[in-house]
Amino acid sequence: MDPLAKQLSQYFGYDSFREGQRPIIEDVLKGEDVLGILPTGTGKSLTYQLPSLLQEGMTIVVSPLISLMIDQVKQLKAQGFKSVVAMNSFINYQERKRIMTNITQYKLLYISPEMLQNEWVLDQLTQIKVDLFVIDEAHCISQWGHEFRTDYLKLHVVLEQLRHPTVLALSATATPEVQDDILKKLKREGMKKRIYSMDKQNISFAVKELRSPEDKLVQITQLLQRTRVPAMIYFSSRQWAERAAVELQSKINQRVAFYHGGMEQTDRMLVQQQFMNDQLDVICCTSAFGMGVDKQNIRLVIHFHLPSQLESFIQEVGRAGRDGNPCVSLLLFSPKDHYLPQLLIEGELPDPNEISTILQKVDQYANNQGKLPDVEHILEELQLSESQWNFIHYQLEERGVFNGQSILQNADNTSLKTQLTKVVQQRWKYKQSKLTEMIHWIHSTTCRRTALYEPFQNHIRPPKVPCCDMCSFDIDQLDWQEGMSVIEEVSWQERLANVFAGGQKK
Amino acid sequence: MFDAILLQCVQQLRSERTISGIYHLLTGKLSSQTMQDAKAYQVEAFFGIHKSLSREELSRHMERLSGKGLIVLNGQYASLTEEGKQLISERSFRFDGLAYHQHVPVLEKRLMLLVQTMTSLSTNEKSFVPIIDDRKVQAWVRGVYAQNRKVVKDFVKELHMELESILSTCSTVEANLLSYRLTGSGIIGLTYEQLAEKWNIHKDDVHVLLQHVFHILIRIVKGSTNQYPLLKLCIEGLDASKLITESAKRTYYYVERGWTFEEIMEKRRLKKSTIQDHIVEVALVVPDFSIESFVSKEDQALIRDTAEALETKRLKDIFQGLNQRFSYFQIRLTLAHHQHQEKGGSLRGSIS
Repeated sequence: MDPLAKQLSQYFGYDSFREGQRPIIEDVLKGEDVLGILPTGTGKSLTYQLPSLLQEGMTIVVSPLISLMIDQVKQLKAQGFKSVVAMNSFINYQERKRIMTNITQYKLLYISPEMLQNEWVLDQLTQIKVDLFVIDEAHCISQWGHEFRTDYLKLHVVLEQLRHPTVLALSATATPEVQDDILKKLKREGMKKRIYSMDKQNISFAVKELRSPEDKLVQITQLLQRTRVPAMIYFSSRQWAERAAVELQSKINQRVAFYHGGMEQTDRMLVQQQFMNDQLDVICCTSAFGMGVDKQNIRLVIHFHLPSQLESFIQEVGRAGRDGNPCVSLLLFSPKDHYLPQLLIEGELPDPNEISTILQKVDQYANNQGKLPDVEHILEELQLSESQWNFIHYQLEERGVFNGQSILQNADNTSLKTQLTKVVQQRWKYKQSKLTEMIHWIHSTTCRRTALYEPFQNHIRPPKVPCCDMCSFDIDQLDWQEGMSVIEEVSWQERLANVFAGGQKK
Repeated sequence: MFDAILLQCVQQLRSERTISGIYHLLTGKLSSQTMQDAKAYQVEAFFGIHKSLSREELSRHMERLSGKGLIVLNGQYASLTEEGKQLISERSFRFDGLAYHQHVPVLEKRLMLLVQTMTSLSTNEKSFVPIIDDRKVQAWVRGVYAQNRKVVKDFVKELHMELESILSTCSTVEANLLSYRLTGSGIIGLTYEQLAEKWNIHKDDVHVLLQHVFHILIRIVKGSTNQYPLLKLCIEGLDASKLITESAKRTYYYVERGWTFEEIMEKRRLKKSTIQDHIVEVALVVPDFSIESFVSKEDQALIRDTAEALETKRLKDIFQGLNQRFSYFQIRLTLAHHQHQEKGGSLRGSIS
């Protein structure tokens, strides 16, 4: 066995690398900058976790997804890696201080992009040797990516301050256009590209148009009455996730639960673990569920609501069939469905008509105290969402009006107003075009697989399962039954004994 | 069970406190007013037994009870109907909210994580995702494990026995709820929703029934000598002076040393009303705290007599009844101080 494979088995217990992992790890260990595009569920995180163990210095991972960060740290700790830590806005000041003063104890640091903007934190990080700098969800750096994050744009400055460590940028969904943008924004145009196909050969696609949400529920009920497999149903609202779960519980003979960000933390953890351990069949969830959930045998992913773009859809169906066995995606839509994603877009971008009010307010702040008040205060006063304000803040910082919290010059002038309005309109148009792309896809009359993956790759591999409802797949014929262990209903004494079974086994 | 608790609250508060008062009581608001009310109206047993209750849920419950003809709603006030009164006397609770409300959340997390951890480790299942995310609790469990790593199997057996013994003193539904809430040996516990669904009770019943189990557990374990060594471990370090807020403690420190109002206000840079709140809070919790420097013995007697004559604890009525001779602060303080003398009539004694 060669050394790398040996270490893989020793540290992670795997016999072999999955596609793409080895070349990226080898590049990184040689000190080469790499852009890695690996589809969801193919073990992206291993491409830096293994190097972090083999290298002497620190590996820093920037990730915008706090829940993903926390899950990964938990998983690694469960596997016995102790020298890993996460740093994000959930961590209080003392804890942060404790982590940073003991920073040399850690080999792998997960950090949120806004934490990296903290001067004190960055200063501490410049004191140590950083071997590898990983940018997870790297598409966030590109405004053509589906989840643009303004704080990602400053990463090239961070790289400079850390004296140019090796960079590994990772993403699951990045069109060629976005890939080029990542290299440009990082100011590392010479990066090696390692792009792997994202088309899933083991998934069958189906789309159904129905008249109303109620009809969708009927459709799902019918499907789940004849099919019993681990299934996820995605909703874009908490209310619907709950409502559907309650309804399904009464109509199908399966274990159903809902999951969303509004639940108590322990309950959230319990639902997630029940699903992981096959103690739940169907989970009705919002997009809050799933990041970092590495369940291998999900057979069915249903979308109750329309995702706002193809990239989100690809990522969500990517959770199905990680074990390589056949799986199915079913997207349901009804005529008015595009309103919901439209509302979500509105929540992300400021209204062009409000730009001038916002700029006037900025000047008021400048005159009163010369700097910006607390974010909460601003959001309250201007009635903006956090992402709307972040957008404005970034744009004004780019144009030299802000520097962090300080206001350097007046904002309320015609030129600035015209510029901002134009940018907002561009972003609007862009988001709308992404939504239109999604809507086109559901209405397409040609092969769904081809239409879905075409924007991301040149060659699409033939599927190993029936392709889609435009080719040869009929979801109404689906009747999978997977044997799942159901824990018997027992008395409390027996249940307690089962929970404590560990002590009774010889 | 939750309904019975709500009815009990309505009865005790005698339309002198609003539904908000019930909300603050059940969610355990740490204010002198709420704590004082809890004692004055003898509902301290219920203090903080449902911390995640929302105002909306509570008003839905109240409307439902009114729909059933058990209570009458009059704006923000509620009172029992004859039918509602019938339901009350039969119930018995073993809550002790004011004493335990801060212990239970920690105990619950410790127990859940301890069971998961020890049962997993006893079968050499090293890789599991802890269902409790609390860093302090995790550190506590690590410490317990470190001390028992050589005897994990015995530890698990013993903990099982202790829990079974406690649960057999509870009602069947309570024993069911706790047994199915726990995670261990790869079996994941159920959420509140799932427990409610499984036993066909309201989610809020699940909350208070589980709380009830924990209150019973603490009482039994504290009263035992050494029958429950592992459960005793779980409530270790939760005791003591946490009944008053940190800020009130500091005020108490100065009062004990004879500082005047003005001096304390100056020193602590607090408003007079805040200092007064602190003093009332201390009077509620500390039985031998002397209040004579604020209200003379004679005045105290006068205030108490008036309260008794008017058969009310409502400050405004007493204030008016005494022709506004005393300040609200003096009345509150007197009532708070004399809770301790009336202790015999507390809720626990009267209905269990």
